[in-house]
Formats: sequence, structure tokens, C-alpha cells
Amino acid sequence: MNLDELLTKKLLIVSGKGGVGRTTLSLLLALYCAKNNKNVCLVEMSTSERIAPYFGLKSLGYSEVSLAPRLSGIHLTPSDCFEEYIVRQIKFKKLFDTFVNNKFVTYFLNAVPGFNELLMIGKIHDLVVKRKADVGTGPEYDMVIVDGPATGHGVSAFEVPQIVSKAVSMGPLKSQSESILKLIKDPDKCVFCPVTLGEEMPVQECLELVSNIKSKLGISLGPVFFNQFHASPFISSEEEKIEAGCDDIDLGSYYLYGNLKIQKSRMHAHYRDLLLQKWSAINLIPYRADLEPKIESLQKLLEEAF
Amino acid sequence: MNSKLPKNFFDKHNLLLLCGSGGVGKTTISAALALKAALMGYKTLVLTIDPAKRLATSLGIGTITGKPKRIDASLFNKKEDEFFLEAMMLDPKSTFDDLVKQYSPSKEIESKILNNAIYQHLSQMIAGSQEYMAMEKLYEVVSTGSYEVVVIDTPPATHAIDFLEAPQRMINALNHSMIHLLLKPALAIGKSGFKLFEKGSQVVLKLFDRITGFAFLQDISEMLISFKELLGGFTERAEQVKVILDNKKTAFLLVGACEYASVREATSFYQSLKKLGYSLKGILMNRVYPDYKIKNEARVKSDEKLQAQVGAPLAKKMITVYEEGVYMAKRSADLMGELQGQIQDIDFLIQIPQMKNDIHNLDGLLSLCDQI
Repeated sequence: MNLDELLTKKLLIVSGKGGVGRTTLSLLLALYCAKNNKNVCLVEMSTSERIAPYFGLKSLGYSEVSLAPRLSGIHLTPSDCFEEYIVRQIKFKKLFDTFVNNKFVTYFLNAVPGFNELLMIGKIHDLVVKRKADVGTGPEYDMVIVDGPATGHGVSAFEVPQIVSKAVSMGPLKSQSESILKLIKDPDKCVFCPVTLGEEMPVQECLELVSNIKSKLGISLGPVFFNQFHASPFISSEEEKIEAGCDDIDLGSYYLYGNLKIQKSRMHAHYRDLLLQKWSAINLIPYRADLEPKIESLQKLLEEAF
Repeated sequence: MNSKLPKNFFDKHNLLLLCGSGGVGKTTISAALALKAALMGYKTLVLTIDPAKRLATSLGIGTITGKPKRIDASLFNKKEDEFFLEAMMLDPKSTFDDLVKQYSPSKEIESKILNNAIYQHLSQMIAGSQEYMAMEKLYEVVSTGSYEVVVIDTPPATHAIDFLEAPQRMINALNHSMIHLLLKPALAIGKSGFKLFEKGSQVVLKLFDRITGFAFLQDISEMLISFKELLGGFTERAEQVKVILDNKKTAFLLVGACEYASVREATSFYQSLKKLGYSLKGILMNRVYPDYKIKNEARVKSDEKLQAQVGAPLAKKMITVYEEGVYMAKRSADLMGELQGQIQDIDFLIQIPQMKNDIHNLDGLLSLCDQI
């Protein structure tokens, strides 16, 4: 899938193993979509606030904050999603404060597996369908981009609606999970964007993730992103020269760093080709030594990458 | 502070817990540490969560499971009786099932839990369960007493400290008596039966019904209430694990990658550990960029010499790559300096240089062993 096609979607879920750069990619995609005249809401699902520092903020919080032209951000926490959901279900905030908002409920919340995930994905669903305050003027956001949780070999958060929908036969959680499923399974609206690094474990996990989301979840696969890709600046005859090395001690450093670069880019090319056996196109995000956690720094990378 | 593992380290410490966030190379470093101990003649076990397939295959243990697997001594040119290394993988789902079987007071409760829809699909999502399972296995292997050194690769988490805090959180969540008091009625009744119960229960049950739906509520209640029967075992085990962790021979080690985030994490992990009454023994900082900087006064000459040797176009490229390398090395050095400024009272801080390739074979693992 190319990036133009991506712009027609409503919901992008960015996912991958811990440490591969999910937040970086989410930010790049958000900037890219906003640049293409989309109103974007960037959603953070992790426990630590990683997006806020890019914009010089301490935290995003649970209300949608404007970050840049056409770009808003929100940080989802289970307890905020819980309160919002419950207040809607029971209609009275006061009832919530009296009966539900206490230590007991916090424990309950933690003890029910998958409940947090379901509520958070429910909130994402609400953001996608949210309308502007003025009646009849269309959706609040053209696109919602989710900086998703890290994947592991266990159950991923986005499997939860499916499981709950199967395990529950009726009631509000059933209808909640059904409407989420309808959205995330619609290939015209929602796609998964896996991110990987050029190392064995992330690539392996990326491959597993992709076969899982297709077979288990029925979510469509969007573009695959290869983060921090080292391209060799050398042509092959030059590589040979550098690899042959030189005896001159004064020049050793150039050759050592040159060889490090060659090995790294060769490894990355290997993993790129491995991924290309599965997919016809991989989006390479070039490695930048001077990347800083600042939005200006990402803007530069954006111009290079997309 | 040492820059290598102290010589007598495995005499002083027989249980090594490697903590750190995901993607820093914790699993590979755990394997290297275990191999080092085994090569020094200690009977060693490494318990890992998520081994890289190629590395496991090259160790001849491609299909490691929940049972310890012995690694062939001949791979390292050792005799069978002078090299003992076993590897074991943590499978949270099957460990959890085993626990349910072990702690259930009756067959009835056991099958009630194992057949519960919520448990079957979502038990791995009980917050903290992976960490709890790792602790459970830790207890199991330590209490067999058959190893001289045990290396534990903790589950990947956002925060390194989760491994210590998450199990208790899980027990708390399952244990909270209010849940049981309030949910018990949900099991016994049909939807119309709420009026049978006292007012407080009634209101909350109705609320939960509206929040979750009755069938779900019933499944949750059943699971949580059956779990209560196991809690005695869970809590007792958590206490026993605490005794092991308190032991002077247990060492907490932190693995990081040489990046901004890792330095921040190291500092916060170090402080959180202190608060819990444990101390950090050492840090292994991975992917430190090697420093090959040429002295400033020699640069112009060297550049010219390079140009003469390889021609201007290639020299230009090599110089760009060189400068990028120097930049990275400086950043690594700055980060390490910052770290050393913040954390002083640890036994060692080992810098592991950026490797050219993935570590996926014995040679790679052995060279990593030499680095630590």
C-alpha cells in the first residue's frame, strides 16, 4: 500500500516490538497526514507519555490538545477511559463518583483481564466517529493515528474486542466490542502499520504480527515501515576497497567506521530483502545520527523519508 | 567502579536478575552472562522469555520449552563433566495453568478456572501475570538447588522495575475482598434476582451489569471467586520469593542501550530499587559506539593522505561516514559520562560496543562473553 492510499483511511494503528520506534513513526505519519490537509488526532496508548516532549509539553492528558496546525493529540489512560465509559453507561456522573470511583473499583478494573484494553480501543472508536460540535459539518477528525502498545508473543490489545465479542453473548460490552470490530475490520477505514528495525528479533516479530493480524483479527495490513535504515553510501567496488583495509595507521579510523557502516547496511539490506519476499513494498525510514526528540528534527526526517 | 565483571562475581552472587526495557538486547546479554559462568565451571541455568530463534538454534536448542535443556559441551570444546549450561523458556500460559492445578484445593475448582471463558482467552492479560509467572519459575529453579548460578532474563516491560512491582499488584487485584463480597451474588442469581441481596450489593451489581453485561459479569465473578481459593498459595509464594530476592547473593543488573531514554531509565530504576530496599549491582550498557577519533591536529593531514590513497570521490564519502561515527561515539561517551555522574555506588558498569551484526551464532556469543 502506498502512502497516498493511506491518506484515504480513517484509522491507522502503528504497532511493533518494544524499542523499534513506534512513537517516531506515529509522529511522522501524523505530520505527513496533516501536511496533506487532513485533520489528524494522534492517540498515545502507552503508560509513559512519549509524544508530549516532542512538542515541549509535559503531558498530553485526556483532552484533545492542539499540537500543530491540523494536528491534535490525546493520551489514553485506562482510568480516564473507564470513567468516561461508565458515566455514559449509567448516565449520572454523581452516581459514578459515589459508587464507582473508589479504591474497590480500581482493583476491579485491574483484576478483569482485557477490560482496560477494550475501554481504550472503545475510546479510539469514539474519536474516529466523533462529529464536529456544529451539527451537520462532518467528522471532527479525518484521521486517527494510534501509537499502539508494544506487541509481544502474548495476546495483543487489538485481539481483545474479538475475544470479548466471542466470550460475551449480550449486553453493553457485547455491543461495544461489536461496533469496534466493525470499524477495525473495515479495510476501507482501518489499517495496521507495522514498524520494525533491521535486527533479527523485531523482524521475526513483525512477520508473526502480520500473519496474526490477518488470520486472527481480520484487520487489513497497511504499509510496513523499516525504521533506522542504514543505506550504504558506497558502490560495491568501493566497499571492496574499504573491506580490504589499509596498513597505514593514520587512516585506520576511516576504514574502521567505513566497515562498521558497510556491515550495518549489509545487514539491513538482508532484512529488507527478507521482508520484501513477503510484501511488494517496504517503506524505508533512513537512519539519521542527529535525530533529536524535537518536532523540527522529525520534520527534517519526514522530508527525507516520505 | 569496574568496567568488567569482577573476577569473583559468581562466587558472591548466584542469582542474577537482568532488568531493562524491551529492545535493548537483554536476552542476548543474559545468554552471554550464563555462558560466561558455565565456561568458568559453574553449573548454570538461564531462564529466558523470548529467545532469538537463530541463537537458540545455534546452541542446539531450537525448540526450548518450559523444561530445562542442556547445552552440548562439545560446542565449546569442553568435556561433558566440565561444562554445565541449561536453558529454559518461560511460557506464561502453561505456567499459569500449572499454578492453577498446583494450588487448587479441589479438582472442581481447578476445572472451573481452566474452563472459564475469560481465563482461557485472557489470563495472559491479567495485569502483572507475566511477571508473576517469571517469579514463580524463579522460585522453582532456585529451590531445586541444582544450580550454582541462575540467570533470569525478566519479561520485557515499559519500566524495568515492573518485574518487582507487578506480581504484588496482581495479587492485590485478585485479593481485594470487596470484589469477592460484591461479586459473589452475581454467580448465584439470574438477572431478576438482584432484589434478594442487600442494598449495597444490589446497587453495585446493577451498575456492573450495566457496565459489562450480565453474562460477562458472571464469567468474571466466577473466575475471580475461584481465584480466591488460590490466593493463599500465590501470596505465600510471593513471600518466599521475597526472601530469595532479599538474599545477599541475589544481584540486580540493568541492561540498557546507549540512548537518552536508557540513561533516564537507569537512574529511575536505581532509585526505585533503593526504595524497595534492594541495591543495583551493575549496569551493562549495550551498543556503545566505538571511538576511533583522529586527533584534531592530525585531521587535515589524514584527510589529504586518504584522498591521495583512494581518490577524492571515495575519500569524500569515507570522511562523511567517519564524521558520523565520531559524532555517535561522542554522544555515547557523553551519555556514559552522564550515567556515571548519577550512579556511583555500583560494582560495575560495562560498556558493550556496538556490534557489526546481530548475535546469532556461537562466535558472536563468545565475543560478547569476552566483552563482559
